[in-house]
Amino acid sequence: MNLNFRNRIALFTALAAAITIGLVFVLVYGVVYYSAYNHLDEDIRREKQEVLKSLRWSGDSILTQSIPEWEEKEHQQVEVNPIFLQVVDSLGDLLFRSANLQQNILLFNPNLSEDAFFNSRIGKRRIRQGQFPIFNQQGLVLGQLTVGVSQEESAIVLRNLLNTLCIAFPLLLIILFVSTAFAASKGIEPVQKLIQAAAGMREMTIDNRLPLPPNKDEIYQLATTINELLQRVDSGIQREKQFTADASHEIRTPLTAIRGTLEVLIRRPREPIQYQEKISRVINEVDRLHGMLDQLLQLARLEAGQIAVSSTELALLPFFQGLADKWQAPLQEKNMRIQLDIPPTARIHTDASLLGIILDNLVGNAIKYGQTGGAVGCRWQPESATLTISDNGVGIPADQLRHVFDRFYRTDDSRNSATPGAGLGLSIAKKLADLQGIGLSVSSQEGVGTSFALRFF
Amino acid sequence: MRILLVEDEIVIANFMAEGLEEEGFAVDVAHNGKEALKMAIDNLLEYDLILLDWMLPGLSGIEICRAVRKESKSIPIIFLTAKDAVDEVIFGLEMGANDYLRKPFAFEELLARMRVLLRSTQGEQNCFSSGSIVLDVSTHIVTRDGNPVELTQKEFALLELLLRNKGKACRRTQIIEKVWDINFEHDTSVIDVYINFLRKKLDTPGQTSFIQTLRGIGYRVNEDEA
Repeated sequence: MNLNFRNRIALFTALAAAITIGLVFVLVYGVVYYSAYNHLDEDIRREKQEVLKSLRWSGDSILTQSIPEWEEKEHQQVEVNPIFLQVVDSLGDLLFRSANLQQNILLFNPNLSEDAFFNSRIGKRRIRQGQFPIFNQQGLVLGQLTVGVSQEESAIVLRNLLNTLCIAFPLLLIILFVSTAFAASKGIEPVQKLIQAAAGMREMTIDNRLPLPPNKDEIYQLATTINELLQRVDSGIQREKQFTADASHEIRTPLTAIRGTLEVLIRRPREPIQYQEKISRVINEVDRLHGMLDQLLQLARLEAGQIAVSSTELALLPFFQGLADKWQAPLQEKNMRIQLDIPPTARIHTDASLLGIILDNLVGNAIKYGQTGGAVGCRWQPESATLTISDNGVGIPADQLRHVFDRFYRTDDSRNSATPGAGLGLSIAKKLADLQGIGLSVSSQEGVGTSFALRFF
Repeated sequence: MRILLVEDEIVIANFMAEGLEEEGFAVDVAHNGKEALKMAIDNLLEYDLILLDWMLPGLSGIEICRAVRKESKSIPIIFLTAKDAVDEVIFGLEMGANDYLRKPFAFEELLARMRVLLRSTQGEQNCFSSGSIVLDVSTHIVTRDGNPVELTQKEFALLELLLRNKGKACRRTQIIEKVWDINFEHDTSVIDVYINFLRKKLDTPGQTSFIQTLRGIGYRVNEDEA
């Protein structure tokens, strides 16, 4: 069934109430019914005692004479609470019947051997009958005494009760359904408001928040939870927007340089040396663009979770010495040297190729930002299982330190200098470290240097 | 014409400065926001146009634009931006820029837009003349009696300045400011050298020079005689 929340609650409540009320009604009716007939049966029993007192029998036959009360008024009248009496012998032949029975015979079961009560009719009149076998001293059934009383009053009371209950039952249910539906709709009004507010949200208005209800109830919690969720979605969208804007800026910049340099170059004829100089400048820019696209793809693959991580045991010192060849050229360019403070026994469990990329980025940065003529320190601390890469460059100001792992983030100084780079290397290193469960952290002191620590767990 | 070029990307700043200088502009380059603001505010009157990158370390182009606009309502400002959202462009224009160019841009387009803006501040004219000498700013060609005359960038810029101010004295300091950039050592005798070059290339032999020397003050090109 396709019911809304409000009507569903109302329906469930009404169903539960229907069962409860129905049970109560059946119980009430049953009690009234039972006590009404019990009352009649008491009357019948009392009458039976009276009659038996005045009955005489000899041998196996009942003598019905000398029963003065039988001729009392009540047994002759038909109208007010009459009591009908009838006596039959063991063969079923009628021995006596009270005058108020006129030509009617009370129903009886000739073979009955114990007392029984049942309903029957005389003409159109409903009566309650009790049938009692009459025994002699030897316990032989001599005949049957049947006592009947009118049950019109009880029947009317019971019928009225039944009618009342039958009318009250659906009426109660309808009232209950309507009032529950109303209460439920009142109850979910704040939810409706939330729905309306949430439905009005678009990407442009994602920074809006749902209104909080005045009471700190479940609805309040729901709204708060949704708002927190929105906050996370919002900041995610902002990050992506920022990333797209940054990426587009970083790609446009070398493109502008390439296009502009070439355009200015061909505006007029020049000396071969000028062509050489300008074109090699352009090649540099193309390389820069290429490098950045590579890094962007790497980052995209990382974020899409497409990089598989394996783990092997690695001897750190030979691993470093293997990488060091690559760094020779940039080191010599800045007249720097690399200081390896790694014991030959140092071994770690890690993905060698991913660690290689991380170290490339960190050592590359240390060379890039280190002081000319300085040193890049690589130190292994076995007690904390930490590998530190440090330079003695200008350092990073404290307020910019927490951003260094952000995509495209470059400190003001590095942006301002001729140092190439798009600000992606560290965010790649950070992501790769996270992927392997390596803790990558940075510390820096302005004028002294910066160091990155890789903590292996 | 002297241009202030604010651009943090060195390669971009280099080609722009070179290209603009070849067009006869004197170009001062600022590589960051603070430097740019100082140059703009200190020497605002010397510049005829500002080319402003939006994203700069230190101060953003927007902040520089606002600061410049407080000082001068008239100096043309062109935004160069890698941003391309329409609302950002609108924001830039509302902040007082006269025009904007999205990176990467065509250098020719930059020149065309600069000319449009300069025309509105320097007058509609593209052609300036004195006697039979005609200088066309848009084509960058100088002719005498209809024959083209080869001029270097500095010669062209100097001639343009003199012809634009025909009938008025061009002071030596003014010439240095408008024709040479900020890196120029202030030895004004270089002006006399270039005036001599111009006279050699353009004067009719045997007649008085079209450029008159105002001793101790500067130079002047006189109005054509009727």
